[in-house]
Amino acid sequence: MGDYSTARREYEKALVFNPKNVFINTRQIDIEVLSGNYTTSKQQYNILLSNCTNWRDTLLVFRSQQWVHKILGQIHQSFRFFNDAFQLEFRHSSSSFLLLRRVHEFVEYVHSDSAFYYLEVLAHDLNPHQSQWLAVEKLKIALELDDQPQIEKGIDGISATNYFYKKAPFPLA
Amino acid sequence: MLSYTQQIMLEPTNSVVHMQIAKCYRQWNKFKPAFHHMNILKKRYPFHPLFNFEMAQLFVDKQDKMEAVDYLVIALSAWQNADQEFQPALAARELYIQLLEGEIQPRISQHLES
Repeated sequence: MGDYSTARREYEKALVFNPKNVFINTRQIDIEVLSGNYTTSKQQYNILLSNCTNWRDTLLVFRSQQWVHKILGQIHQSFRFFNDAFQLEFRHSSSSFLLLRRVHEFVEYVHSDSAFYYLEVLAHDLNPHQSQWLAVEKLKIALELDDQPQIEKGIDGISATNYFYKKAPFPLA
Repeated sequence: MLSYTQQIMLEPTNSVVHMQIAKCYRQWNKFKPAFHHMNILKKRYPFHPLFNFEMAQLFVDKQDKMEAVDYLVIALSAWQNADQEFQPALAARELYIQLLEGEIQPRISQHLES
């Protein structure tokens, strides 16, 4: 916990073997963010972004930039990176199920219309087993919006208590 | 508090829950357990502005305004380019000004100079 120097050393070791691994590079910059080196970190993310060769690497960097800007209180920029990441995943990923689990973040950025829109779009691609998660995601949105009547009523038989106290009500597909 | 305690048992690495628990204790003026949870966060994320702001509020409530300023300075330095309407940064600035107008002006002036 909080042992940043060990983390730095370990990431440096890992980068000797995988210098171009975007995941390790991103985590290394994350350590600098947590150490308060925000300006340098933003520049390093941009350099990393320009070196990305596939959409999954780009996605990783977008998500990290979303996180940094959120910490810095630059919510508009944070949303821009979240939206870029979401659209990128929406275009390339074949898993509507995984995307579904990011939709509630639109609500955090006060874009609940987008959240409801994507819930509808993604719901069509879910199999019956995965569609149970739809209720969980709707519940998360209700919690974000502090929709008390909906929270008390639960969604499709899933209540906030059941979801948060009995983790993972359904096995992952 | 019961819900947060249960949540932290299920998600021990969820830092935000530690802060929520600390906030509850702060509102009850139970500073010792509040500091216990905030110190966990301080160790994990020493420069996180939100956690430093919560720490500052904890010290204000404990009437230790000098310590509060130290934490506010960390939070505000991270939030210096925050969106104008970003509520936590606005609240932190307001608290900082309130402290500036109080009896601890000399110490704050030192921070401003550095």
